[in-house]
Order: sequence, then C-alpha cells, then structure tokens
Amino acid sequence: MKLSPRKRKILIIIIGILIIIGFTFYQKEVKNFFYLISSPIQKTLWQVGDRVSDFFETIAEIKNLKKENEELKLKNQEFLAQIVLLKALKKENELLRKALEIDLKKDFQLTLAEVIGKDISQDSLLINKGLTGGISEEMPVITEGKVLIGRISEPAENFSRVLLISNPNSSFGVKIQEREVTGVIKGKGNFKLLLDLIPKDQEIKEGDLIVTTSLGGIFPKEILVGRIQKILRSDIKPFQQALVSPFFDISKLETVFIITSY
Amino acid sequence: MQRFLTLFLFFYILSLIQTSFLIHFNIKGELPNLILISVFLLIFSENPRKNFSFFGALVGGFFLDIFSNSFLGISIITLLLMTFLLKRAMLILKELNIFWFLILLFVSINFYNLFSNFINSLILFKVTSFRIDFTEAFVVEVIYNLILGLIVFYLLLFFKKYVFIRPQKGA
Repeated sequence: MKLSPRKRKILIIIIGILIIIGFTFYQKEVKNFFYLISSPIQKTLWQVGDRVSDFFETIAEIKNLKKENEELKLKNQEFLAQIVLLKALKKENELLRKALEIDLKKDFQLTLAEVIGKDISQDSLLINKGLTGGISEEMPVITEGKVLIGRISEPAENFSRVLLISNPNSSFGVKIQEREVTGVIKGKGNFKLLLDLIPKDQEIKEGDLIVTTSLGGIFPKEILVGRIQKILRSDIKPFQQALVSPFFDISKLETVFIITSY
Repeated sequence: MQRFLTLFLFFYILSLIQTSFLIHFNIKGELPNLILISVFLLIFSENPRKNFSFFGALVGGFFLDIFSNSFLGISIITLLLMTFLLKRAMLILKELNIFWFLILLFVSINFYNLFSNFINSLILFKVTSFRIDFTEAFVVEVIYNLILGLIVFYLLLFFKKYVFIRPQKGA
C-alpha cells in the first residue's frame, strides 16, 4: 500500500503524538533511563567544565596578579601573627565539628547523595539517590553544615530531582533566629529568596539569620536558610518583605544529605 | 536513517554538555540554550519547504524535557510550533540575511521561554502565576543566546565555504 505524501505526513504526526503521550505516562521511567546511562558522562563533563572554567578564570586574573602579590605579602605578615591564635581555635573547631556531626545524626536519619547535575535555569539539582535508595517525594535536603537546600520533587528509580528553596514553586514557614519573628520564605528563582508576611510592627534587621520552623510540616525546625540582605518596606503592603541570600553555594555543592526521617 | 540517528546523538550530547559542562560558564546564573540554538540553525539553514528540521525540533524538545524539571512533551510541542512558525516566516521573507537571523533568533528565544512557561503553568493549574518579567536575568539570557547563535552561525558559514565545498579540478 502506497500512501500519498499528505497522508504520510498525517500518519507521522499521529505516530509522533502517540509516542509523546506514551512517554508522558512513563515519564519517570524514561527520565530515569536517560539519567542512568548519562550520569558517568555527565560526571566527566562536569569535572572537565570545572577545570576549563578554572583555567579561564586564572587567565582573566593574570593582570591583577602583581598587585595582588604585593598585597598578599603584606597580608602574610598579618596572618603569621594570627597563626598562633588559629592553632588554638583549630582544636576548638575540631571539637565543634564532631559535635555538629553527632548533632546531625542525633536529630535526623540521613542519606548521603552526590550531586550529578544542576539545572540552574530552573533552580533544581539532580542527585544519585532515588526510590531504591529509600528516597521519596518531599524529603528535605540539607548540607553537612545543616543548611537547607530544598526538597525532593521528582524521585525516580535511581535518581531524584531536588527543588531548591529558591525555585518559584517553593514556599515554607521560617523564623528569624533570636527574634522569634515568623514569616514565609518564597523562592524567586535564580537563587533568590524573598522573606514575606512579616508583621509591620516586628523589627527585622539586615544580617538577621533565618531558620526553618516546623510549621507546615515540610521541613524540620531550626535548619539554616539564609541571611537578610535587604529589607523592602512599603506603605501600601500590609506586611514587611526582605530579600534573603541563601547560605548554600550552588557551585560548591557536590554532596548533600537527604533527611529520610525526623 | 543515518542522519536521523546522527541528529539524535548530536542533541543527546548537546543536552549533556548543557547540564554539566556549561553550568560552569553561567553569567548571572543564566546559560545559553544550546539545543534551542541548534534547532533554530537547522531551520534557518534548511529550505523552508523541506521538513527535516521538524525531526530536529522533536528530538531537541525531547532532550530538553528529559534533562529539565518540566513535563515531557512541553518543549517538544513548543519547538515543533516554533519550527512551523519560523518556516512560514521564512517563506514570507524574500531575503534572509544576518539582520533577519538575529531578529528571528530573538523572537524564537522569547517564544520558547514564554510559550513553554505558559503551558507548564497551564498543566500545573497555575495560570495566574504566569507573568512576563523583564529582569536583568532575562536580558543576560537573551544576549548570551544571541551571541552564541551568531558565533555558531559564522562558524557554519566558514566551514561551508572553506571545508565542505572544495574547488573542482580544472576550475
């Protein structure tokens, strides 16, 4: 049977639509398959990209090296004086680190995962733990320093997508540490956060620390979120708002902890 | 069949580069959309009456959906519609030059972003959350894409002129 070009085109379009519909029903499985076969290549490309960008950054910095060298010599002398002080602090720091690690393990049940992809245009991450690793939707994701990153939004068989707190679809209850002022953090995209619904009579300051509250049941309480960067006051709006800079640095995120139980 | 397979592999590699290698070269958190630029170049370099670039849009959209947070099918539909509209525009325009290249690329970048975001908000029943923001990030993204598109366009012209077309013997 020979089809006319017009009928052939219609047939191709129908087949195409059917394939897309089919894929949509199995999108988790399809995405998981591609993540599974791509993760070794993505890891290599990630490392190559890191080295190449470091190389270009070094070239761009050559101009300033001489000036920087002189400044560094001066600073070196200052640092020598501080070394003695730092040695004492180092010991204290080690003790605190251990305490923090114990604290994390004491408060939550954690699963360690590696970051294998970052979709910065949509404020999301891809990690190498999925349903088979005991991960499920809505689980909080934090750093080793107890800094909130986001929550699991799309767990696949061996991988999961993490929706960063800066994603526009993210909002949750927070409080300002040491002030007991509560509000809501909303993702503004592009790693930006907005603190909203702060009553006008409550005092907030730039530099204030924001931590989570257990309100809403999305995240455990007392997890670091960010620091107030700029307060936005408006006579029209019934509440105060503020821009908040998150504590996590996307470019340095390589491993994360998923809170499986708290 | 071979060129369909080549295009499939090409877009797969591009999407891997975009989600891992290129992340380190973001400007103000914005990246060029390699697949969108490639699909656009495919359409622009093809005879408007030919249909191969529809396959490019299908595969490109598929990989954009796979490696992003959006629903499978949104980028496919957006790129297919973009291909259809671009082909119509190219049939209307008598002469295609660098000016029209930039205009059409500019329109395509914005069409892709707005249309895919709109469909996404429709699916999530959040139509009210859909809005157009002309922020600094928006400007950076458009300029980054236009510059990369322009570089690739001239590279393709160079290769077409000096590498692929060799002078015939005795000419």
